[in-house]
Amino acid sequence: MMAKEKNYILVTHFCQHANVEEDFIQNLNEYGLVLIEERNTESYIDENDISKIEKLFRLYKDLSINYEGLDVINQMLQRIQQMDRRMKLLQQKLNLYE
Amino acid sequence: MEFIDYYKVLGLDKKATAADIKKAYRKLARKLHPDLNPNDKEAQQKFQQLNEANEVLSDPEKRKKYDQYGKDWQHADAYEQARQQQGSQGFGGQRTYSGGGQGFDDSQFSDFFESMFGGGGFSRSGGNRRQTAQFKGQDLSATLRLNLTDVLESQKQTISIGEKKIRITIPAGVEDGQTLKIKGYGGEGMNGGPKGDLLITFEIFNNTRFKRLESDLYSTEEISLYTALLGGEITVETLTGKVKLNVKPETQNDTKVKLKGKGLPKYKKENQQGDLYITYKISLPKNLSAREKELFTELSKLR
Repeated sequence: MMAKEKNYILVTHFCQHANVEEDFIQNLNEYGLVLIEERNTESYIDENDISKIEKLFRLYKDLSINYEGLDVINQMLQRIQQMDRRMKLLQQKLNLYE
Repeated sequence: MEFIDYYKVLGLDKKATAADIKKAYRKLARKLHPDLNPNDKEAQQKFQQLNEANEVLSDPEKRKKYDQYGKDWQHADAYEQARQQQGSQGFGGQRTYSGGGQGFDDSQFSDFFESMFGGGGFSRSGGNRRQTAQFKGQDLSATLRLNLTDVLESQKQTISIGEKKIRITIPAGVEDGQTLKIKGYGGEGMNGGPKGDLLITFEIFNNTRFKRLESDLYSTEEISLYTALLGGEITVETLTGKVKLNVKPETQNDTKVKLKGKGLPKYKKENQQGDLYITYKISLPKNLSAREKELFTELSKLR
């Protein structure tokens, strides 16, 4: 299977456009919530991570959730997504017997 | 236009202090935040109302107006008109929220809110006017219904979003509930930010006798007692036409056979097809004649 192509965006560019503090991205990186790629002394983020960063930033700002909380929420949301997928598959399997 | 009891939305009564309002808002915001309730439209609507309620009740001036005119908001309109005629301005302010995927736009404010407070004045975090993400436009959602037979091949369709017509390619093998993201066809971005995305969710109506599990199809086929015992050739239907099958002698009830590649195309996997599984159901003869009974009795004695 072909690997998904990645496009990288400069952290400073993203932060300027999104009004997000660069420290926020650095902290997400430290908590393993996003991966910052360092190239030629510049920091980059994967374009596919943008919607996740925006979501985490909304939670951080709107609900005053700290980084530990963001990590927990992120993990829980991933588990919910997995369970939703699994439930859908099980429902389809169940339909075979109806 | 329906009156919205903002106190009720926050679970408070009119005597609530500013601290009570703040506390109730924070508690409910944590519960109803759209990012914590993905795909839950009810929670999103409630969160919208919650923000409205907080916007009004956490601002002393707006709260006063709401308390004074709330249930008779029509008078508030007249009041506003009179104020405008006198050259004064109504409540306004800077709209500070655009957000990403879960954003709001003006049209999502309740009519009640618009009527009382005008278009402006909505701050996402309510009362606390801090800078929030003003970046990507709102994502738009649409639903597209297809028949199961439509997913046998990729197809191009033109869909209308507002006044715009978009030509999209629907990949073969798309599943029920699957969402296709079309970048840049959502709402306008803020401050020069990119447009949001268009999210098309497919609803697949099964117009066939087959059951579907991902790219595989399942069906049952009745065979006669004699074909099951002695074997024979039968013709079965697949999604792409009829095929002949050899039934082996002494085939048992509920035997499953696989017709390789006779399922649905695998999503975004070129030239790969799922399989069709057929379960044989043996149909026993009814209304036996005297001669048949006699022969079956004879047969039973052989075992």
